Amino acid sequence: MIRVSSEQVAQNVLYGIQDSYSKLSTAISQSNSGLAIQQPSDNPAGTTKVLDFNNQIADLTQYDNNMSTASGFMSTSSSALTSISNLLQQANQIGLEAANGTNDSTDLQGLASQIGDIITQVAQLGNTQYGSQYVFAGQQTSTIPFAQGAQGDYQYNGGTAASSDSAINITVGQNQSMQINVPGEQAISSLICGSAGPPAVASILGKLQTDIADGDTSAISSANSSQSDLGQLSTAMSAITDANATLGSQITQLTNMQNTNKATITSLTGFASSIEDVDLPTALVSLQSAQTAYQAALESASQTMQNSLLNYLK
Amino acid sequence: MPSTFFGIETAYSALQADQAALAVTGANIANVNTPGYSRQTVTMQTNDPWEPASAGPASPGPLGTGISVGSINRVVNAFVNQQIYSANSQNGSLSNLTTMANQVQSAFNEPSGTGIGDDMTTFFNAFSTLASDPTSESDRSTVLSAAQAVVDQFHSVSSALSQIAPQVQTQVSADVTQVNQYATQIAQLNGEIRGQVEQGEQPNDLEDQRDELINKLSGLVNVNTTNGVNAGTGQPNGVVDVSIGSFSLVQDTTAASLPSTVSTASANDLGLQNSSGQVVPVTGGEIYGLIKSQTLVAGYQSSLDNLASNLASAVNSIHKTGYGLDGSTGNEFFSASTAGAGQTQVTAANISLSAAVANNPDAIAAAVPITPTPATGEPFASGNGDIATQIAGLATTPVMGNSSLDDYYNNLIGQIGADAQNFTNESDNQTSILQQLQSQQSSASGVSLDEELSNQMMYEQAYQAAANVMSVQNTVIGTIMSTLGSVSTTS
Repeated sequence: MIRVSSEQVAQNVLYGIQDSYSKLSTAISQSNSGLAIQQPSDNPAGTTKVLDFNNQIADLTQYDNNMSTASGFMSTSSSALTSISNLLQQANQIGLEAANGTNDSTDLQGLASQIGDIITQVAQLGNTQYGSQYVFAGQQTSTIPFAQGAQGDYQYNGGTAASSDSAINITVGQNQSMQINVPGEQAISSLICGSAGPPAVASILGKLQTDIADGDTSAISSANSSQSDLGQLSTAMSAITDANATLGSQITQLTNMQNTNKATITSLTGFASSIEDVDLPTALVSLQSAQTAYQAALESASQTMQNSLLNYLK
Repeated sequence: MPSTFFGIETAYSALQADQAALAVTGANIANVNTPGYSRQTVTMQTNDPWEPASAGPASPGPLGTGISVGSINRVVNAFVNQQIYSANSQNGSLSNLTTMANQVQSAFNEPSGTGIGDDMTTFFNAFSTLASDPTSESDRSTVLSAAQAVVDQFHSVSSALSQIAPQVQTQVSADVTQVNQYATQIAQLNGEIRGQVEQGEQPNDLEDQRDELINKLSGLVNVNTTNGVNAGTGQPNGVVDVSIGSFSLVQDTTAASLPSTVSTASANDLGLQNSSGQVVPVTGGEIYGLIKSQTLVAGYQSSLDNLASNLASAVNSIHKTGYGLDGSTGNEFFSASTAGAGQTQVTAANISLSAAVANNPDAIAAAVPITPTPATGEPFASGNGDIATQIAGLATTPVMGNSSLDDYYNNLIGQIGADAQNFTNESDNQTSILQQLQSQQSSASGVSLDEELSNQMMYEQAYQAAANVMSVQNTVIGTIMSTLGSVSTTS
């Protein structure tokens, strides 16, 4: 038989009550907060994983924001390019009409002035802004890319490949970037910007305008000559159409990537939650059993500690 | 033939012995809740019998002469006591370390969504947003406020850490003073106990006092005890010598003085150092817990400083090469706020926005220079966000050995969590072990009221019976006196 002293009973009862009370307290705070990890010591390896997951989620969310910005930028560029394509179609029609040789000089002046309007509109479209950014200015997004020079000519003031400030790249994934702009230098500049030279070269639309005004039909259109005004216009048009098509496929690609990102974010959030959050039914069951254990400890204390031989001595 | 009053003497010895036993029972009951009290038991022994000079019909064989109290002993389990001292030391240091680790965890406040890690992520993401539109004033302001949040969070965690173990030396000194007081008292008790033991007495209560002192001592520092022996007889002389590792704290009746200067020269060799530089290694108790806490907190602090300094240098080295919207270049982004003479190392406590960019969003460099440098105009494109992109990429770039800033921070949190979990588990274990040992000790030494009440009844009845014997003896002698002793006096 083990000798049991009064003090020992008191100690054991106290230890039992404290132990079950502290377990009850843990169970209460877990089911209250819904968190299995309230501080790193609750699960150190899990905490590191949760922090890693949260970093990845934050990064992906940021990429997602970047891609949304990029989509807006590219859609704006794309619709401007579409409008420019339409204007070039008109210019082509006007050029064909001027080249059929049945126009008198008044007609030609009228047609030439229509080309002049188109030049102005193309320049305006070339100065399209997304927010405060000029989308066709390369990296010089705060500079008006197409400004009218002293001779009424347009000049391109945006970034160029030669000065390495033409491409705007944004981060769309880890170590993954995408060019989001169509530099005006490539697509638009040749249409409306001449070069002062030497040798002086007129812009495509500018030359067309001059040749129409002069009634120089062979310069406007000659069969099988890509050097004619309309031939060059057609080359420029297909360049713009190509750029626009590339933008379109990039926008689709971004949308796909955003969808993938969202799915990844959802599953990462799920992983983090499975580590970080308590399973509510389990938490409630352990709360219930901790409560029962605590009540049992109190009950047994109240029953055993009241008794001693004194109760029975007369 | 024994004397007429022989029986009275015998009964009287029983009365005395039972009274002594009742007194011991009373003392036990009185001390039922006294910490450190060991129950005492009475050992009765039969007195030497009376033997007649010559046996005969009138003088039968040896007659019992009653009882006397042989000794009053305390019941202790010396083996368990030794284990309790050791468990107590462990418990003392672990409870301190657990408290410290929990404070460190509160200081970092992870995983909460509002810690340094989250602020760094927000900061890098602000740069990533800026890269999409480097001319946006609102994006630039967001970068500054996110950077300010990172800086503030570093300051607040660093200051919380520095408050966890600020006065370790003061607390250790207070504990050492306490240790030295206990040592003096133990040495003094050693002297008194030895004196009584040499006179053949049992100084139970003094020994309890000394055990309790050693018990308290073991909570403060790791102790070993050895029982002293009388050099002449080889018998225990009642003295207990106390040592801390190889440092002799109490030797016989002399108490040494434990030095109080904290020594953390090497992480594995923590201790206390005296004025001549000798170190007393300490491996347990509250004192060890305090010193160890200090070194651990210093470790976490230095990791945090390392993170702040690497963040600053990584961001700065990229930022310096870029151009702000206002054309400024070569500016640092972060700097040490207490920039005095010469270069100041950036720490978690002093990291701040550099004077160039603070309150000046346009000075944030987002653009790389144009190459070759244009002959006219700005040397950078306002819409270039390559610098901002590079800075945003630092979140996942390995800049601290093989770790990115995020990885380093997350691992630090994991390390802190693992330490805290270790200490908590060990502390729980030790508490449970200590509880077991105390229960065992209590099983041997603790007072049981039921037992004492039973003893009380037993001794009370024995006392009543002895008094009854006395009364019978009285009647017997009365009979002799009244019938035989009535001598008529002649007038």
